[in-house]
Amino acid sequence: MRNESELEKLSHEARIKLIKMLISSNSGHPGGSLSIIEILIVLYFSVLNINQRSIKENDKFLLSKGHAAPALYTVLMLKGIVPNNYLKELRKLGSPLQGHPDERFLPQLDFSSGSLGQNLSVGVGYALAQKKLNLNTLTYVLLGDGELQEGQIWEAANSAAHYNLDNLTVIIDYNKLQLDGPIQDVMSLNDLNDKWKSFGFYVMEIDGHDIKQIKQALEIDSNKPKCVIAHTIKGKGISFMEDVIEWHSLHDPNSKIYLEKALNELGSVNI
Amino acid sequence: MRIEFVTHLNRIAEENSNLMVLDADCSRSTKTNLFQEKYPDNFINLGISEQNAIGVSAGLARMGYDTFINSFSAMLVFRAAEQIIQSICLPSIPVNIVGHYSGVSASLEGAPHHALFDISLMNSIPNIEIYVPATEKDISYSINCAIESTKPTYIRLSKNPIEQVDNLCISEHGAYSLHEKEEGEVLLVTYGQSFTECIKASKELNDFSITCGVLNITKLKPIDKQIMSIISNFKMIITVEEHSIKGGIGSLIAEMMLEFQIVRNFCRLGIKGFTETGEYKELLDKYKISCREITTYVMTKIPGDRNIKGAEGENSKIGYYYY
Repeated sequence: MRNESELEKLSHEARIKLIKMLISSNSGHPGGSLSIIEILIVLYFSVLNINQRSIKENDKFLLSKGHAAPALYTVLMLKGIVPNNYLKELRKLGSPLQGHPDERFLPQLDFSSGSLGQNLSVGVGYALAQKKLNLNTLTYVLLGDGELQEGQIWEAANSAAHYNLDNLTVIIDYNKLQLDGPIQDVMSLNDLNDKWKSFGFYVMEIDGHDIKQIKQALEIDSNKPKCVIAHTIKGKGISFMEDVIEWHSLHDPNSKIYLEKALNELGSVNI
Repeated sequence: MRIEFVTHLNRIAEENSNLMVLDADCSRSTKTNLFQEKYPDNFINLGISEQNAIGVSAGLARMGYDTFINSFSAMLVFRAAEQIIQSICLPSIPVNIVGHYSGVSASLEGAPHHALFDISLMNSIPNIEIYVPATEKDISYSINCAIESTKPTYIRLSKNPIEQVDNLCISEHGAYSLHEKEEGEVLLVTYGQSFTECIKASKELNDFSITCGVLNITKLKPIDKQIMSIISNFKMIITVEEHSIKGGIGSLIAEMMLEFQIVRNFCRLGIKGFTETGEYKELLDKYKISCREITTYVMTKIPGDRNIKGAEGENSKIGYYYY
């Protein structure tokens, strides 16, 4: 179990690795990757129990917003689950680091993702099985905020509450931006807290970049399925990317120049 | 067919506690409620939410359960088509998807409940296997294969009971079986409920001295290429299916005949366009896939003047069959 300052340091390291990875691929999604770094660091270094003998007995983590794959790959590297020498392999042909998480190429993943809205249902399946098998393990699903516009999310939420899945935690990366612009302009989500509450979840709202708050929220026990609404900043940690929709994905031929600049901001250089 | 399906599941559950049967608020129709009564801990109802049901099935299967998700095929397959592709087939999760009330078997419910394009979709998705049982034996074969398989499967079922028709089984291979004749003028290639219509048609055609065999294909994907040796023993191949004429077994056999360079007279019988409400038999007639229509169709395609065996007078000629 790491202390908060260690986790903050790891988050910083993760950002550096992430930018290096993106420099090499010159393709991918920096904005929504940078917004979930602290959440992933806390999960993998402080919360998830993933060292059991059989995979079945491990806690499960599903990244439903699969476009944030670079963030997941980075944290898996820091954790030693994915070898560091894949750093420059993102989005390369035959690489384990596919554009979106793909368990065919990276069996260490708990599930593939890439098409938004689907992994909360899979998480409900995992959590149901964990209960039926008396495993005493937990399932965490990280959703994007724009992803909540998918109807399947609410079907899944319904079923999680119906089956009293108190072993399931939904984390929402609430960075308030989606591909086409601000969520409130594209398709408002209105009161998310009320929504999840009325669906039968125990809801918490936190600063999604505050290690202490993330830890506390993920450790809270409830007899209901839990929903952590993590207020985050898209592009967090890079001054010119923060809250800037253009950094949702890399599409500028000059991206590399900016990414090198980002690396400098983080106090590192690309070698 | 539903009863035989659930009976076999119940039989398996006696020894296999790993079975998990799911339904999407159709259990009183699909009859999985009979499974639920016996094995309540191995049954999950997910309500009317097919997309979620597919995802939940994926999670359960990944945790080791032999998972069967049941619903009306018209809704399950297409409402959740993307989930089937992304959450089941792409990662190749061994979930067994059971489409009930397939073809036009939900006859009186009308077009929204008729499943006509499921084979076409499933056939184009990598990894998933397709089983379409016609007989009780086929049902147990399909379920057993589904459980043993490490891949996802789609099992297509009809609402209607299995109609028992006497038939001469020439050879049986599990994945397919040949009936009535092993060589001759016409081979009807079919699956599922159309099998009994084809057997009846073949008997009538044989009565007209037209040698007609029936090839029943239970495992449609991957299809056993050995069937090509059967097909090459007949002069005319006619595919018959309670499915869209495009993308079903007609298309599949046509592709294979070209690939294997088997040149024969070839026709497809299947449903063109969207359907409507009607009694099941009326619909089979309307869409020209009933015994009567198959027989008539073959008669128009076979040259020459045939006599009905044992018949005399003006009704003895094949013209009798033009209604």
